[in-house]
Amino acid sequence: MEAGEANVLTVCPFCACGCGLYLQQVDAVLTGVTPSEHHPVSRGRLCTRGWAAHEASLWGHRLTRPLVRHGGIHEPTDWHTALRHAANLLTDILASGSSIGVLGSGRATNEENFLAVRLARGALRTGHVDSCTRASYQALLAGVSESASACNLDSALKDTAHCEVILLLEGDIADTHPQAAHAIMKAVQRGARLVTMGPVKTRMSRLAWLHLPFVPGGESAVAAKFASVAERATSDNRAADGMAANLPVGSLPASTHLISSAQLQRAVEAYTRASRAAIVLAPTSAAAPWLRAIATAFARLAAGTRQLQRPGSVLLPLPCRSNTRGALEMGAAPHCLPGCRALTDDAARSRLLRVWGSELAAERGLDIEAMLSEVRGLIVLADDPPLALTSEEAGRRALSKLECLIVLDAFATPTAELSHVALPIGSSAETDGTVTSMEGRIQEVRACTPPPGEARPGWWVLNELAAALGMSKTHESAQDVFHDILVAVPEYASAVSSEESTPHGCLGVLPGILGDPQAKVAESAGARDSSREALAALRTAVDGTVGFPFLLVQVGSFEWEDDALVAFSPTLSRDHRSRSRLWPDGYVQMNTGDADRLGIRDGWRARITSDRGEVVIPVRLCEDVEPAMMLVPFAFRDQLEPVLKCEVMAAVNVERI
Amino acid sequence: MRPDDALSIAREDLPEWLALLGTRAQMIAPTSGPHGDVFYSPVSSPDEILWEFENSLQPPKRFLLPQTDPLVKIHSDGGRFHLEPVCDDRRQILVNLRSCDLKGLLYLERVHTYDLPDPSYLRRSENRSLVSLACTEPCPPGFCICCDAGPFLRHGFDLQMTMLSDRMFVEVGSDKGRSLLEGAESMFRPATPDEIAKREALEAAARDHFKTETCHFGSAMRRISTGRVAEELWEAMGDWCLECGGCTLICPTCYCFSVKDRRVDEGWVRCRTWDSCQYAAFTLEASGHNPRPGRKDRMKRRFFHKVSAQYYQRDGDVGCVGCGRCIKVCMGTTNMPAVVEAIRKGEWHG
Amino acid sequence: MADLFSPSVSTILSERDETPDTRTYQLRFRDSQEHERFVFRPGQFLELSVFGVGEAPFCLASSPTRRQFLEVTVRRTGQVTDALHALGPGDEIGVRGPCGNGFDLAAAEGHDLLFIAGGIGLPPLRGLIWNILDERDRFGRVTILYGARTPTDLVYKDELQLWQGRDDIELFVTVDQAEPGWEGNVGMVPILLEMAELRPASTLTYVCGPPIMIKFVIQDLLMRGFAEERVISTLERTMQCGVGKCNHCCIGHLYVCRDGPVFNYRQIREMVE
Repeated sequence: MEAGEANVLTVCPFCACGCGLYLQQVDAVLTGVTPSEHHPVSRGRLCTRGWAAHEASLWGHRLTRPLVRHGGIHEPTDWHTALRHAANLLTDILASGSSIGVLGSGRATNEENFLAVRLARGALRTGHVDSCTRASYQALLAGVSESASACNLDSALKDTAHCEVILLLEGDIADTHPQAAHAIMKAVQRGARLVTMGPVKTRMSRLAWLHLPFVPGGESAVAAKFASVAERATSDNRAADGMAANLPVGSLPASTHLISSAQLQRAVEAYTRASRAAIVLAPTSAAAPWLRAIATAFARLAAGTRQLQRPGSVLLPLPCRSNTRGALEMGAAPHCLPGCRALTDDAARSRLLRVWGSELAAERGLDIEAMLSEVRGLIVLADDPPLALTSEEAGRRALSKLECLIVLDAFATPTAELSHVALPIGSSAETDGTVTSMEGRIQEVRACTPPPGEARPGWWVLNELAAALGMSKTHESAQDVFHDILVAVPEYASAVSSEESTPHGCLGVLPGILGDPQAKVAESAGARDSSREALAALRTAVDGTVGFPFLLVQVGSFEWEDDALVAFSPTLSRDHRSRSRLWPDGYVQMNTGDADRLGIRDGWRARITSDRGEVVIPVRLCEDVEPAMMLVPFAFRDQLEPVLKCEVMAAVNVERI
Repeated sequence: MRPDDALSIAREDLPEWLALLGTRAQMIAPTSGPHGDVFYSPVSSPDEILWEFENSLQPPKRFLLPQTDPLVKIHSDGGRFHLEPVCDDRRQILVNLRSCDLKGLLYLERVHTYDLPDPSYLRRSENRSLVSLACTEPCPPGFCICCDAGPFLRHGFDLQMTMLSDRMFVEVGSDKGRSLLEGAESMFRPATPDEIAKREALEAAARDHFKTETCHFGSAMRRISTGRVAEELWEAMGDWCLECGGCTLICPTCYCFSVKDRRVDEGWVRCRTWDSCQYAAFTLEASGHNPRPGRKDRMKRRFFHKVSAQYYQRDGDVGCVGCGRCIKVCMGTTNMPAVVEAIRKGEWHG
Repeated sequence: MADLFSPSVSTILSERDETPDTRTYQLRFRDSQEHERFVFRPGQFLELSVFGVGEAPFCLASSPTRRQFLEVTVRRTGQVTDALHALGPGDEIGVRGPCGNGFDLAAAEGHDLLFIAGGIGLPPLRGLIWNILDERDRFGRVTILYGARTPTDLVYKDELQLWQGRDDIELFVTVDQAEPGWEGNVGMVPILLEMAELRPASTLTYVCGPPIMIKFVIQDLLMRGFAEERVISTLERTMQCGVGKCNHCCIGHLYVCRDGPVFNYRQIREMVE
């Protein structure tokens, strides 16, 4: 008996590190994962998630037939009917003069995102196109580009492992970007000095030479301080020229109260003197404009100290998901065209005209949060958007009010449950295409098994939907779509044809990605506003006289636990399930010493009051939280809504009940 | 070595013999994947078999213990359930196993025979023939010599092959091995004294490769078995673990698993799937209590199972075959040799 | 067990609510020959499956002396128990077992027996208690101390009354918090040690309940001169296979599913995680 068996090289579908792995199938059923020893990024190493990359596809609650909602109930139907129905719903909305939005996804391939953008700007003639994890990443990138024009991320991870000093602004990258954590660990093992910066000591902080604790909003202040110390430290005056200027927060005595200037001095001196040094920026809970300012500050530090010009030095912003970067580069953003070209770029428009075979809407559209309150129809590609929104609950409410919600997904996510039409597509294990990692590595993902039931590849469904809306051109394969991408995005074409292109992908760097002049004006104004607000909260907390002696801070801007790829994986969901089970009301974390003084024990409920409202919620004690701070995991932001009111922090009082 | 246990075959006859074996059972052998990685996988022709290769990252353990292993089919028929155990009766011949991997399979056979025998594992193992290719040139990360798992094996194989210049030296280790020669008797002849001498010389040279490498398992075992490893040391090592579980999933002797039901068209399949004691939720109880809450607790667990005297006495060996895979897959730095060394010295520097 | 991992189909005969989140099920193998063949000791456990959801271990709460049906008492704490609670009489589930070592009944013969249980800790002891009551003359004095958080949380309320009425056993019950209508003892389980007549030298003690209760009760017993070897408890760990293969329930080199779940206190004290 000859058993059919194959190991198919593909890219890990979780974070943006871009690890290579083989999916294994036996008799057309996924059975497991093997790391790729020769893959330049992962070199045989995978994190917990990578090792379970087959699980969601295999064990998850899958969409296997097109579904159409009739009288509140999803009824299975055939593709033709479902697509017709979807097209009719959309045309009705357009006819009534209302608008429709399209969401691409960091969980989908470049091809799928490219076609989603074509659907928006080409078929629906709207600029309302975005993706969930775009904003924070783009803000970091934009900030970096302001000071560091040549930000080559090529082999950034490998270089990081050989840096002498690493500044890490993090959530918890051991969790969010394990391969980056590995690179840093390797560097530390080789003797590098690691400086971690963040509101809480993380796993990486335990390996750090210095941990600089600060509150969100303190980042830019710390960066400014860095810059000014660096200014003094570098003999070259030009280098530091203007580094400290233009930061959204000027002098911030309060926000750096946790860090002694001696500590800062040491960190900066180490950074400046290193022969190669890295700055790694993970997206934090800070709002996009603010993140941009932070990135700007660190980029100035890197440029000003001339670190960036040194071979092997790294300035690396981290996107959340496997294809957050690719989605952005494919144009899933309201302010740019594929290839991150300005909306006014005529050359880019004519290239798109050529490959799309239609005129396009080159207007600036709404971002995802604005879209949800403005549009009446929404097409969602492979995502459960509320999970990444400021408020999950409000997001779900908004989705349920839509006149038309069309969801293309492999999984029965809560968003798919709300849809008027659900179109089943292949999961990451069943899809051909490409994704773009945080280093800009354009890699092929390959289908290991066929999609279940009547599910079809995402590119096919997007094509059919576009055709139902009157677009004439269709594609024969994912590769066919990629050829269009190569025409529309010249950087991808030159990357693919470059000599360094290997079976493990090629590196494309988009210069255009970095510029969005319009956004710059709008966002830096926003940055000043939000940091001023944060600062006010902080001052109130530090002041202590007003009765709000604690600073409540939301940490993180994305969590894996409810994402379909994790929630549907038996191995990965195991502790997460128990977290939401054990803490159905959520929790906040607080310093053990603080809790002792208030007489609060682990797991007890406490009343938390801010000037905006109050909430009663369990408290978990943690030694790694700084005194006078309380942390809210991103997943529990809704439970703290009465106190936070959609901000990322508030000065609060805590009482034992 | 009894004279009739040592044979040789001309190198150019190998394909014919293997092709003959291929007609009797599925042949599993190291093959070159399309992207430079080596895989043990089914081959349809002896031409696909690699003879000189760096050992595969995924050990051949998956042919006895797949990552997703169907155990029972469950059908529902109007509320009445019908269960049907899944039997894997395929005959497979695993060719060109490395000594360490074969030793790993012997270890797994013992743990699945110990106490309550696991029929689903043993049925498979009965149907597998193990043919190893002795490591005349030990691989760089390997330390098999510390675990008596190579570079050459003394027993446990069905056949052990050693590559001589123009002939393949073949040792028969079991009746199952002998049966692999049936029908090919004309291709084999008893090994000549010269061939035996060459084989001995190759083994000696292979052992020399390891030079002064000494085994520290004894020292680690003394400390771990009696709880004489400082908590601070475990904690320090725990800081360098990213909890990916790779070391256990890739280990030729690891076999922890979970059981779960997978939906299929007409019912479910209950599957056993690889699990890792390095995952935080491995011991998590429904109440939320976790007896091994910290990274240090889980690391302690891994090495207790691997090198404690308690387990040595039960399993007859340390749970390590020196293949060096955990060095390659570790997201942190806590691989077997590094940790054993740290325990022996009582200090850890990352 | 012909196949270690293949359960036998069993039918739920009846269910009975014990507390708001705890229910007792009576089970019988669908194949009655299999039912007749099934032999177990009190203290052993079953792996129950709700098909499509998964498997979880439950101690046998019935006595081998009563062979009509098997009983398990299930509290809702996770996926499998949630799914079990959604089932009722006539529904089919999977049963594997018996797993674990169980109580050594022969060793108890001729001794005075003291049972101490808290909350959901009574079910593992109930099978043993009924076994002993059904062969009453083989054993010495029988004393049962039982406590729960509130009167509502007491399981087997009818049987407690039944036992209260018998003159060959002594039963003391307490609750942490009284409710209207409760006239019994109020306080944690250890207070019952003051009420019962203890004979440390001749007594085997079986303790089962929440970890914190076990901790205090055992301290109290040791101080009163009970030998560590004669204080017997059951351990609970996460389990998957129940047959000593999956390694989830290991404590050191001991497997709770094979070497346990019944251990004496000396063994427990010497365990290394």
